[in-house]
Amino acid sequence: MIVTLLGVRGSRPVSTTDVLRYGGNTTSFKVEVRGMAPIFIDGGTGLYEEGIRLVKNGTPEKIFFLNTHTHWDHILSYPYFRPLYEEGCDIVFYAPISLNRRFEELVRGQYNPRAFPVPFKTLKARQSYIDAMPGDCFTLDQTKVKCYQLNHPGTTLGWRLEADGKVLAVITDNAPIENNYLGEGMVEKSKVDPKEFENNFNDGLVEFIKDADLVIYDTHFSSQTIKGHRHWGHSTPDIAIDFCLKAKAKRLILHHHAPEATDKEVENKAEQAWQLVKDHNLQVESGSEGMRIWL
Amino acid sequence: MALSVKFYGTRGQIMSVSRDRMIYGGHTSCITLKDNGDMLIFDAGFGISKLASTLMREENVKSGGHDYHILLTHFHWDHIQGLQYFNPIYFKGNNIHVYSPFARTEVCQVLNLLLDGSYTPFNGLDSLPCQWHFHQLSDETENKIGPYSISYHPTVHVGPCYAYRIEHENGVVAFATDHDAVTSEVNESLVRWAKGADVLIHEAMFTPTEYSRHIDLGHSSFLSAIENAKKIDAPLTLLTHHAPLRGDAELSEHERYLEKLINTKDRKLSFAREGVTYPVRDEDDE
Repeated sequence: MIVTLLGVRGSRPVSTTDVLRYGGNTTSFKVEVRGMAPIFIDGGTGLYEEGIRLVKNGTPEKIFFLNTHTHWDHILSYPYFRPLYEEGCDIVFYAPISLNRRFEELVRGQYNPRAFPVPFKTLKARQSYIDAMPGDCFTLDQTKVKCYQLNHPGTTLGWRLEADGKVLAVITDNAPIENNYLGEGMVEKSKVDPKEFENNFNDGLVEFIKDADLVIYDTHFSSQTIKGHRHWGHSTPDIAIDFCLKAKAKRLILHHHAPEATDKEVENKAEQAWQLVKDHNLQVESGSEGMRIWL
Repeated sequence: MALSVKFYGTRGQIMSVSRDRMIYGGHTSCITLKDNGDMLIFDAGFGISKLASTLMREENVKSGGHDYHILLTHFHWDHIQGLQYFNPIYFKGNNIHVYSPFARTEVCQVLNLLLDGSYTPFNGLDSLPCQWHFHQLSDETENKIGPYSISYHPTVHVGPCYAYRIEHENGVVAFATDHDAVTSEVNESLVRWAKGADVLIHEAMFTPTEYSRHIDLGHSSFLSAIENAKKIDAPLTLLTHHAPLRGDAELSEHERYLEKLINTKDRKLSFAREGVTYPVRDEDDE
């Protein structure tokens, strides 16, 4: 399995000289498994140039997308994703239903005639939109896929992929519960027994990333900057490390760098995280755009 | 009171961040026009988030009580998608004035789609703490915002879109994006209307060859934009809405070529650069 980080920036793309080392494009990852179509996770601005490359090199017959959620920074590139305009390309989207809106409806919303010059009906690729429900378990060719509802406004799914005996888990966007029920339906579910709900959520998340060879985790905030912003639905490196250690994950990529975080700050984030894991068998670093990880 | 134009976003269509696009800039459309006190903001592409960072440093945005004036050319994503990252909207007591020739219901419809709860952590315009004020500009009466008089003109684009002409005691600016400057009645009329401007901001997205492949997208080729610039004859023409992947080296090469076609002692052309402030009139003239 090869994982390529196409975009690691959180919230919005940033184009300034002080973010170029880690990159300014928003969330998108490419997963390559021998002998099968590429799998992409999310369509932030990191996906845009990859779409052009794909078409240049001969559009693949099939492309899979696993979407974590439908906030703008994770879907900005879809109307500009070249393979969608190519005949003979089969694109399969798996995505959560968020606040009663299906993914197809939200992609069509991006083609609203007031807001976008090209009509949705001009897309030539064959598209399938499949609703993913929290807890779903299925296979894409020889890759086993699972999803888990995260704590972030709307419905957001973490994704776990297993292929060739290797495991990748993507946890973005996600906040610790700590009396902060952000995910759709969580306020209601927590009412019976808040403590039990929180324990179940945490245990479920540990189980979900168990023994992962690679975990990509939302670490938008630091322990300082998360104060007053818990309701934004993001985590810190400490939180990510805590879950990874409990799950005995092998490698952690810090992801979803805050738009205002300069290269220096993202570097410091990695260094502090590295100090935290010194007595443990967990490798940690800040994700940077273009990084390719062979598992 | 010097009047100046500053670009916070010069890119068209989509942001794609890369090291070789730092000089001309990577953020989508946003421009300010400012005298020493009053500021107008044109378009709310991702550039407006960069403007917001500056405002957060320079004034106490969080305390509320500020007025911001945003004029929208049209609603294509690259011209509105930054609005949700414009920090003043997060704080109570700030007044966000949105101006355009479009009816209020239409403006609210599109901005509510942008801020929909499935796309953002918010839930429409009303879920934000700021106070929104929507102003429909009129072509019958004078539109005044502080020291500025505003008029508008339709452009040639996919769907309705408007160019703005702003008059101030210290200068006149005409701003035409998105617009296809190919020969048409609308374009001829736009050229007449823009005459007399000290600064013309005009879009120029395509090379002539690219244009021939995208003839119906409502954007100008470099050469037709230059034709408009010659006819309007402003002392300074700034070309904007750079294609998403066009690198600094390529833009600079085109810029040098186009300069030769148009520059005279009294008429200069540049490709707009993000972060650069352009005085509307040379200080010697004032």
